[in-house]
Amino acid sequence: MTCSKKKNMKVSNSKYGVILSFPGLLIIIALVIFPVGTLFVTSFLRYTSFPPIRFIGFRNYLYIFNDRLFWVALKNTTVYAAGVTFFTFVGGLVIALLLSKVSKGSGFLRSLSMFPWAVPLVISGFIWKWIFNPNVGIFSDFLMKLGLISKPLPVFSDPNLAMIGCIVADAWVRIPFMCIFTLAGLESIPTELYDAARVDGADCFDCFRHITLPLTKRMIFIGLLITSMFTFRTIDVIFSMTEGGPARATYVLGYYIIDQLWTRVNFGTGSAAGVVTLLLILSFAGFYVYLIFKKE
Amino acid sequence: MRKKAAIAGIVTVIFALSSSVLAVGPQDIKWDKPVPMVERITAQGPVEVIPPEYDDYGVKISGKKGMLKGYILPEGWREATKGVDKLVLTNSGSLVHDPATVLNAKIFEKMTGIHLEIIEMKDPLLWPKQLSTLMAKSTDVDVFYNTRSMLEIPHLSAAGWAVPVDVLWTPEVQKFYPVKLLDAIKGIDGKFYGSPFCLWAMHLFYRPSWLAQAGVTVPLTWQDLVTASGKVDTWAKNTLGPGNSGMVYAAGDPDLIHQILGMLTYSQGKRLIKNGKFVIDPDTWKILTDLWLKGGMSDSSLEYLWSMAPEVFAKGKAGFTITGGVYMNMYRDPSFATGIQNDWDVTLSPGWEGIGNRAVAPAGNDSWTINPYISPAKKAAAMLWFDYQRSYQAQFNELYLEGNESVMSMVYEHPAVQAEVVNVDLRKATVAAQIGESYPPAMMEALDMVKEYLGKVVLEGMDPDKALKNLQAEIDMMM
Repeated sequence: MTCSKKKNMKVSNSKYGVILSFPGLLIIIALVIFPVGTLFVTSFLRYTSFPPIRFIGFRNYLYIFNDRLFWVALKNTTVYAAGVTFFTFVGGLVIALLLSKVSKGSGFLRSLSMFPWAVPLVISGFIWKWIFNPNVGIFSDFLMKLGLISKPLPVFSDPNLAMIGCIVADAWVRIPFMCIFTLAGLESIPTELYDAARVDGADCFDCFRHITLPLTKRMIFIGLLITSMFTFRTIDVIFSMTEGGPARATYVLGYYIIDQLWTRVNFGTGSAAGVVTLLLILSFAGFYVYLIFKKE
Repeated sequence: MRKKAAIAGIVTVIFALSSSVLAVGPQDIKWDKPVPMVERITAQGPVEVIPPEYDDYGVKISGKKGMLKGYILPEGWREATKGVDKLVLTNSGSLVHDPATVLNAKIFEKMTGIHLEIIEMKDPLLWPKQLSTLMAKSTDVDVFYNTRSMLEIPHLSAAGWAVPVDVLWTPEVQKFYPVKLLDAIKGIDGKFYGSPFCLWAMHLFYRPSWLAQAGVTVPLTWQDLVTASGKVDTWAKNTLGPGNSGMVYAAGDPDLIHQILGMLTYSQGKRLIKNGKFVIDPDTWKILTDLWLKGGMSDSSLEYLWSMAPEVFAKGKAGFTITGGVYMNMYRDPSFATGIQNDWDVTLSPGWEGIGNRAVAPAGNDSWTINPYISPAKKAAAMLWFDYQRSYQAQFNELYLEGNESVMSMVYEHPAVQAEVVNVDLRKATVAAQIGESYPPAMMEALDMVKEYLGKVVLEGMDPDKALKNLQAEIDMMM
């Protein structure tokens, strides 16, 4: 093939690539860029059930930053996201370490450990709501039979317990996801490193601290990033378990947005709250990505 | 070329004009024919055993009794609803618990040939789904179920998201319905936008054996209820275990918060709204918080929605509850009320010490509204459904078959109702005592605030007076 023919092929390949990318681009525009654009535009409007709709600048943003409930929701969201991420990390790491040591039946055990991931978060909320129910739930019944408590735990009428209950229900679903990431990292570590460390007198804890954690750090960070990003904006479990209560103990940003839209019927402030949530998540993610690539 | 363009233009104009002339809709229905509207909607038929062909929506109602005839269709309905064979409606909860809705829907279908496709939805989703549908100008749903008419209709009317139905509510027709009820279905412009489906009237249910063993009598005042529920709570926890309570109430539902605030305030002869603003009376707040702090109200009640508290009572876990009259029927069902058979009774809700005013409560009703984006023929069909649903026949079925309070007062005088519906006199007294007020648009948000501060007092130990001060300040800022 001559050089000129090769050059022609190069040009037509890239054009061909653009054409093939076009449907995907259309989908991204329709499902991401257009809705986010509409969100931004609406956040600058006075848009309620009472006409007219008009441009009001940053007034919606001023409203939510001066609203006590926004800060309550932000605080609860931070606690919730941190709690879920922590439990997800610990649970995922422990299960991944256990699975990496198992050889017989590992396929079956790995499939079993993935089961909670198949459960939608809303359903998880309903399942754990029944488990934690003080009157008929097995959790309190089990603890009372063990003699650890004398009366049922009021999970849904205690602000602290309600938050913990929601965190458990959410983390239960996300642990398998974290486990996959961690397991992938663990399986990429050469076994010779552990052999060499043992020869030098390292025990299990030393191996974990100096070999396992550093070499799986990147995968764990990515898993934590995705988990915390998703948890920051989720309300599925809270919607089915506590609906933001008791006394707004589990009232998160997602619920704040819902209230602006459905209770206040103010689409302008709801959109502004949505924009603020989006920017918070993006800045959070940006910080994480910086940490990951900085170490490289 | 010019000649062709001119002809095309003339044809287009003629077509547009003829389309508008030929378009059918509610204006084609002659509501006062063949007989005046009042006669059409108050006509009655015999009470019959429901035959199997009325079973539908997965609900078996055959074998029970209902009024299958009576209502008279207006003239012109066929022309007005031409081409409409189906209406899509939303419903609060499962139709298994709404046998009267099933019966009335089948009667309507048999009369008109219009099938009602009913979407069963959880209560918390009804309003968000309605807003989403209307904002998208979607025609997927024709008629919406509104559980909080007086809170939701102001928003709908202001935004043009409901169809006015004044033509159905002439002064002669209005006389057959409670005035306060009619206020609850009007928009901010004074027009009628909703059609009442049933009334929600609150009653005090209690366990006679629990009261006897706790050494208390049936409380007649709110102050007595605080004391009595406290004693029953102590007895129940000591005797039956920690999972039992003196009282349960659906305080997790802002609509039920609205009801109890109304009951406490109206029983003092006061009102919730002063000079267009929602003002919480200090004495009301004291009794409300005392029900938890000094009485026997369970902490879990702060999370119960409208149907949860009555269910907890039905399972025999509480001594008192305040809920709607529909439970007078449901508590007679041993498969539902497993814990209280032959040990429950009902009375009027309490009054205020030294004043009285038992049974007063906000005029709460569930109603329907019409999607303004559907075709004129579908609007006509929807209005025809409204016309039937508020009729004597349909309201008889609501009360007789299901136990929902009737929006048409004269239904309570029917001999079958008098003979077979439990506690008819009690129901009539409660419905007659209902009070209606016009609420400002931020009322929904304000009730959410009340729920929050009530939780802070009960669960976090906030001082009730401080809580009221902060709560009122936030409500004032909102309004």
